[in-house]
Amino acid sequence: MPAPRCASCHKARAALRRPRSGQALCTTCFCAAFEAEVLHTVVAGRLLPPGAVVAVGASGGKDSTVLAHVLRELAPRLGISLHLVAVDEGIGGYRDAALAAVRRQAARWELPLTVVAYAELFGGWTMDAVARSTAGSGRSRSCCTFCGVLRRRALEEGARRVGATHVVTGHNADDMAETVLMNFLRGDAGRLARGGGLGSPGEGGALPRCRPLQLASQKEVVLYAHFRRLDYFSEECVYAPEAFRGHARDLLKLLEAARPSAVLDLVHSAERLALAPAARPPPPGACSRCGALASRALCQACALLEGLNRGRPRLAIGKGRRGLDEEGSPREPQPSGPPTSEPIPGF
Amino acid sequence: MAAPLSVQVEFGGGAELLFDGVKKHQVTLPGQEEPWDIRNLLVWIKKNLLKERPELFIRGDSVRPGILVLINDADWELLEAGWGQAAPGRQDGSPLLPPFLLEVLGPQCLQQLALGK
Repeated sequence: MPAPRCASCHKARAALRRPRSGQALCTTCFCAAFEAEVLHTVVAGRLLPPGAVVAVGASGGKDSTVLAHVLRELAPRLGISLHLVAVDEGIGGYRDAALAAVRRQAARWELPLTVVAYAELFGGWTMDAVARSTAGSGRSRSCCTFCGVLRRRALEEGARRVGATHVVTGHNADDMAETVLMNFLRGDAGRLARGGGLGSPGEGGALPRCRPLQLASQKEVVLYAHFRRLDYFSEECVYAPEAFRGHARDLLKLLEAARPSAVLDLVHSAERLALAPAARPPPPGACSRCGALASRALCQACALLEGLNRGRPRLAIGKGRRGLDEEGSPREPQPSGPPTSEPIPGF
Repeated sequence: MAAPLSVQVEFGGGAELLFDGVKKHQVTLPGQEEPWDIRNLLVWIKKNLLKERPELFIRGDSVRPGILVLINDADWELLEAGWGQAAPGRQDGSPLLPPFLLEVLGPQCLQQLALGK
């Protein structure tokens, strides 16, 4: 039972079968195809024009490591410059090791690195402090809700500091597909509407943001990192919860086993969704505190921080966000159903 | 009747967390009645190497979806016979020959459930 020959070069032994096409490729041809597809995603979507100063969200994990590595290879062809931006959420032990990986990468690739810390940006609120504050609420995973929102804001700030024109993150097709499933299952029309498409154009003064690995399946990202022997960090966050995303992921994996193209098909379907008029969210305005894009008086980040600072961290979690009246005195929040305490991806 | 078999097993991409953080294991599988194949090798790994949370490694008869298995640097799904039937080392049709390398990558979910990229 020999392994088949590579379908591209016909010389080397194949190392994997591509999920979408079923084509068997050797490591060299696979890596070349992977890089070519990222290039195509960027060029066809006009995501990173020549001259762009690109802030790469670098966590030290496999996705951002692969993203930075591939973009660095493609940078001369695209005419872009890269700057690594790492976010320090203030999680003792875990983030230190991850940041060490990012620093090694920055040195090896000779790329500039900027680290932005929650403690500095958000008035001393590290994730360790947030976790202590939310611990009493009885649902430990609500701290992850904070982290997703605040991390996105921190990345934006880091990108501004380095004079970036664009922000890229390493979300892969599996992440996107999971998010689509989650939004469907939660009935979150707003997120479904905003989530499609290759990138956010950057409304409300935010920097344009895109995900060049969006059409790469997670399996291929892992294998690319493996075949290229990339040094990355994979460890469990101490706050890693039994979150809802895990269920979406399990479902997706089962579907993928039956139909390998399901992951990408889901992403493409979401891009083509049109919402019924009644479901369309109102056009967003600006946060009254910081000016960022917001669908309510306060943007998510300011609302969460407000809750933390008032000693009532659960204030802004959940669909209604009632009780967060910015001019009046705080009212008791009405029970508004189960809080959305899954980690929110940096969309 | 299978003779003892020397196998190098490597865990990466987060899988090592289930094995006390140890990435490389040089193991010698004992001689036994049935020939060694991937299915019973993975069962052996679960019984003898796995330190915690078996449900994150094995599900039913196979590895948990999302975990990648490479045999001598190739995706095991490529092997014609597939899961449960492929014999280690038999990729070119030649007899079992060391060195035989099994690599297990993932589950990435342990990292991803948390803080992202």
